[in-house]
Amino acid sequence: MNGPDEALVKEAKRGSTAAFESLVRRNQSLVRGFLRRLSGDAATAEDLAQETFLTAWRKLGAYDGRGHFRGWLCKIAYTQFLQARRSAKASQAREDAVMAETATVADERSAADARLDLDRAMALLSPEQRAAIALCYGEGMSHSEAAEALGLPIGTVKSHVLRGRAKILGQFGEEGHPHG
Amino acid sequence: MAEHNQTTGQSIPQAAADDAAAEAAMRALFAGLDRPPMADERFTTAVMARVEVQAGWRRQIRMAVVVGAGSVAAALLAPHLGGGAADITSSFQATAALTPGIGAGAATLLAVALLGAAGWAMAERV
Repeated sequence: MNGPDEALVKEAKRGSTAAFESLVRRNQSLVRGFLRRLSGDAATAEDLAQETFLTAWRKLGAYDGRGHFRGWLCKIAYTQFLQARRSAKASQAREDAVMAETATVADERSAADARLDLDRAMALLSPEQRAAIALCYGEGMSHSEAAEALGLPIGTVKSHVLRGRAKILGQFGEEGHPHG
Repeated sequence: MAEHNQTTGQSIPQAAADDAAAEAAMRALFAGLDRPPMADERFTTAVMARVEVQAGWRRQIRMAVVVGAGSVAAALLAPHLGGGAADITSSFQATAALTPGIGAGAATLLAVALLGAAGWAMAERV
């Protein structure tokens, strides 16, 4: 086990809800941020983040401490996202709507628009590319940490990052905003 | 003369410069994004309320298993414990006129009480 989460994980494994609460407090921003980038929707990300921590609580005994706790959490979050994506056809419809909207996006610039633009560009990526980009650029993880979190070989993660980066920058173009 | 990347045909210094520029552009894109706050008590409280419900169910199930196992063990061991207790108390029987039945009954009750208390203690720990 690594980092300051180690002692808290040990306590939580013994059934301490107070220790687990500290783990939630310390890692909620990471998990919610990752899911926010992954799903492109704040409400969905909140629901999935809650499910992620509940699953983590249930499966804490299975965490063997060989990797980073935050990587283990992101792996659960990614699995939650994929399951939700598979089970909810509405989610696919929402992505299709976002992609269609990308083609007609207005050329108005603001911080909020930039965020929406990035969400639209992210929606064009495959789930694996989106997850790799979200972890490496959104959460500042290294390629090896992202590989651990996603359960993928590091070379695959690097490839997803490079291809995802090219697609996003291609969408933003030289002017710094997406084009259809 | 600069070496070239065999895949892209770019000169290696040019490829490195392009990669650095793309990396900087991506970091700039993500740097401006709003992030969930580091300390969001509303979210933590919502998660922990659900965790407490799960923990409560888990405690009750474990307690039921432990008490159930204790009861079965007590029922299985009762005759032996009763016999042992009867032997132990045999010296008292002479003077206190205790019957073997009373000795066995008391030992069984004691065993059930002890196992039940152990069950409660274990359930409270988990």
